[in-house]
Amino acid sequence: MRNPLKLVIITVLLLVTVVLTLVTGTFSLSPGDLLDLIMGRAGADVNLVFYEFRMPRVIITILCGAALALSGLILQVISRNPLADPGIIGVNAGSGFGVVLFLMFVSVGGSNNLYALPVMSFIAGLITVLLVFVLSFVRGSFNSNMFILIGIAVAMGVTGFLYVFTSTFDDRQMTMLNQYLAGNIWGDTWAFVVVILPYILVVSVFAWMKINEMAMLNLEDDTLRGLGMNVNVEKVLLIICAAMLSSVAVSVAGAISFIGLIAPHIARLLFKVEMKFVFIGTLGIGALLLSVSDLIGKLLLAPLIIPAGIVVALIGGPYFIYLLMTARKV
Amino acid sequence: MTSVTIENMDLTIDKKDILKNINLELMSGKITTIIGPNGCGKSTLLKTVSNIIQAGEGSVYINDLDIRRMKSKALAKKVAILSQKNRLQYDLKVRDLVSFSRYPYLRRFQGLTADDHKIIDWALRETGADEFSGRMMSELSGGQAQRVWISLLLAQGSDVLLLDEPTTYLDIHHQLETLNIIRDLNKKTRQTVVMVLHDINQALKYSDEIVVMNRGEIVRCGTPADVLTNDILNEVFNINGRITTDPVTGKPVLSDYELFCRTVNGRAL
Amino acid sequence: MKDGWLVLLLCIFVGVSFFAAMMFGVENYSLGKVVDTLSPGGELDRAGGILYEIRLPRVVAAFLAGLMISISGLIMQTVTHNDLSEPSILGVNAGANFAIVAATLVLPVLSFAAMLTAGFLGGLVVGVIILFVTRFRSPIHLILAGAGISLFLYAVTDFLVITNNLGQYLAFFTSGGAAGVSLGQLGVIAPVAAVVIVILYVLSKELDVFLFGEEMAASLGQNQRMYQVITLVCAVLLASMSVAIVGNVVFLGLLVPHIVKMIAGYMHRWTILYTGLFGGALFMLSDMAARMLNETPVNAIIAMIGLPFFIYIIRTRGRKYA
Repeated sequence: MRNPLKLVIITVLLLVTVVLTLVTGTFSLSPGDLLDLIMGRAGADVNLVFYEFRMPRVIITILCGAALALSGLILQVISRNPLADPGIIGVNAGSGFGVVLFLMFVSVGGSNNLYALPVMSFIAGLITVLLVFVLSFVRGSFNSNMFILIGIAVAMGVTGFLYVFTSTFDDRQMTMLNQYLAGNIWGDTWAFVVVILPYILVVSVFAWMKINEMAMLNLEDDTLRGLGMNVNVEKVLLIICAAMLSSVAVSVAGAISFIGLIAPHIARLLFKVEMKFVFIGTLGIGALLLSVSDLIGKLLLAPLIIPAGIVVALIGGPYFIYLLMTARKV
Repeated sequence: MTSVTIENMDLTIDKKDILKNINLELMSGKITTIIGPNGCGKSTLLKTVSNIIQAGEGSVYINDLDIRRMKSKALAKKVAILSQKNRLQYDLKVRDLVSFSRYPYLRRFQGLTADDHKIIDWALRETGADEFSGRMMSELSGGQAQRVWISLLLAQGSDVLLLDEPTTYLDIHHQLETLNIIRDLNKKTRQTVVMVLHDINQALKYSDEIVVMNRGEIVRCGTPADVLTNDILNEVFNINGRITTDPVTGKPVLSDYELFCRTVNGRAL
Repeated sequence: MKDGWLVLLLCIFVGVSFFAAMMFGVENYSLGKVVDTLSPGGELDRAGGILYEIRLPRVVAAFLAGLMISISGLIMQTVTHNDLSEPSILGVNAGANFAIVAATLVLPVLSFAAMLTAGFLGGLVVGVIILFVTRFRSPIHLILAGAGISLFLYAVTDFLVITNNLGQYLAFFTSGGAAGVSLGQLGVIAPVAAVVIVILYVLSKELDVFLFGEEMAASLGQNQRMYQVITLVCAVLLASMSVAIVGNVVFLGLLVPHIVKMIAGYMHRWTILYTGLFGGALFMLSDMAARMLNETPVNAIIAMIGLPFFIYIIRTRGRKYA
């Protein structure tokens, strides 16, 4: 099958998922309602559900899925390790720490802090990755295995000591934290779309400009240096992109793992070595995976809503184990 | 012609002297081979010339320009290096791999030009890798893969080619094949070639000049006949050898060799 | 001779830690009071009752947990040929944790022994996967495998917790602590732990052979697979019992064996003993600190101390992983 055709299929699947997500839920929309919406003669309640509740959520889901997936691809490319994932190397833990700080110092209820939570979780996530990154320099050059090991350690350690601060939390705060850590997409209003869409777009375009470097990182560092690449500089730029993408996604969509691991892997299976297609495919598959997970989480045990992060992990975990068994060299 | 001059180079890593006061002017358009025992700094010297490792003291001049003042891409247009270890994370088509060689010439938002493609095709033809340019790297034999890597080096379009043990992991047939490709290219294109080799006879056979290194220092350099003496074999490699002249080529050959005295881990028995 | 002194020193350290842990906490007691309470025959007043009924089980639980986690870490490091192995990093704790939650769901009134069994089986499954995965791959692969499997299992556990409204379990297993352990439960765990440690001690020569690496061990004629399985089962058993009483403790199983090996070398005959005593004392002290710091979860404190240590190990000794 030709590569463009595969991209078309991914897009179609994504559209189907989007439509299903838009019409299903506690307030399900009939085909008639949809027609009314298109003709612009729908009732206020239908309009509200469609445009104010579901539409922004779908867009956020797609954006975050794509951002996490691209972040995973970048991490895998620079670490030359197909098992790297932003969640595994500490972004989620760091952002979770941001949420704890928010709950301790800012949250007194009320919606006037709408932006404070994502901003804090974003900053904490970003700082965590950059810290891991700084710690992984050995003798002045970036060491990718070190990066992964320290990332895992930081993820474990930070997740562990999050709870130092929770002894004063009440039930409501604990529930909020747990919901967040489970990967519940909650930043689902137009306000978030307006902020996040341009941000993710800009970072992704920047990463796209580095596509030659990403393709060539397939080779050994010394070979690349011989070809005139500033390997350290390129890795630093790419890793900053990855950190910015994943921490913003996690800050509105909760601690979601495995998307960054699976999406690039499927994209490589589908598009083999052509980095341009792998790049776009990763974005599409990431968006698809997260929106499907959100849809499943909504429908599976309705009216109970399972956080998308858990659904992703339930799908991603077995896939990960399969990868472990088959990965030839890491 | 590109001239390469190494001046007063010293390099210390972890308090160990890796290179000590290296002064060397490479012969333009000729093949120079560096020989020496394991860990004497041969590969490191090559890497400092292509600025993969930065020298502590001293400098390398390419056409009288200090390489530390050059942009990495500008340097890559002058000097190309084939590392000893060439691994791929993911499998690639041969031609796609060779096309990476044009990286120093790429501009943002611009793909390969027609000229780039011409050069890539030429490089593949020169090594005979054009026969399998559509195949995947994983399908190739060791000798074929080495031809691809040499094409990558050629297509970089540099005047100076550095090759770090280009014959390792190859059987004797493919070793000779690889060295013949390098020698024929050198005759044709007059590029400056610097190799690191382990086999002394191969070094004698293929080089215009030989540099002997020991413990981070250059012990001697000159034509094969100048360099190959029993002193050097004793002092540098700790072996005795019988040196004869090949009746056909007239070049010196090491026809037999034995340990200077029987040693284990450097201790006399 | 040196080993004898070390044992003595460690025993003193354990003793001091024990009395300190008995004395200090939310309420402080004098040494005399502690001795009185522990000596047989005396009448127990209110304070004595608290000491005997609440603090003693907690201190003993902390000691046992620290001992089990540390020895488990030591054995896992040897068996997987990896200095960075320990139960939480390899995902064994996550497996035990998941199995315990799942078992609690299936049978709401579960005996403590049944809970332990469930935890053991859960940990064992992960342990076997890990062993299989590490056979032919690099150390970093092993660590990534453990991290990924942990993430997955915690997500599955979260799923069970959310769909069944088990909020309190989540809070316990993620933050943990030695509070609320009864002497009866310790009576189940202590004998099992003792048997396991004796087995490991008997096998200490085989464990030493592991240190030479797989190929060397094979050429020395060791039936590796068998000893690998036996010792790993022992390690998993210790780890899963510790999960059942104190939840998921990160880094301790790494930190303790590492310090011990730095001081006392690698022979398991000694390291098992040292690791156990040192780990137990350290956990008692951490738990005491947790009590004094307004009942902060002890595992969080250990994570906070352990993280810089772990990073230090990777950066100084991790050259071979990187």
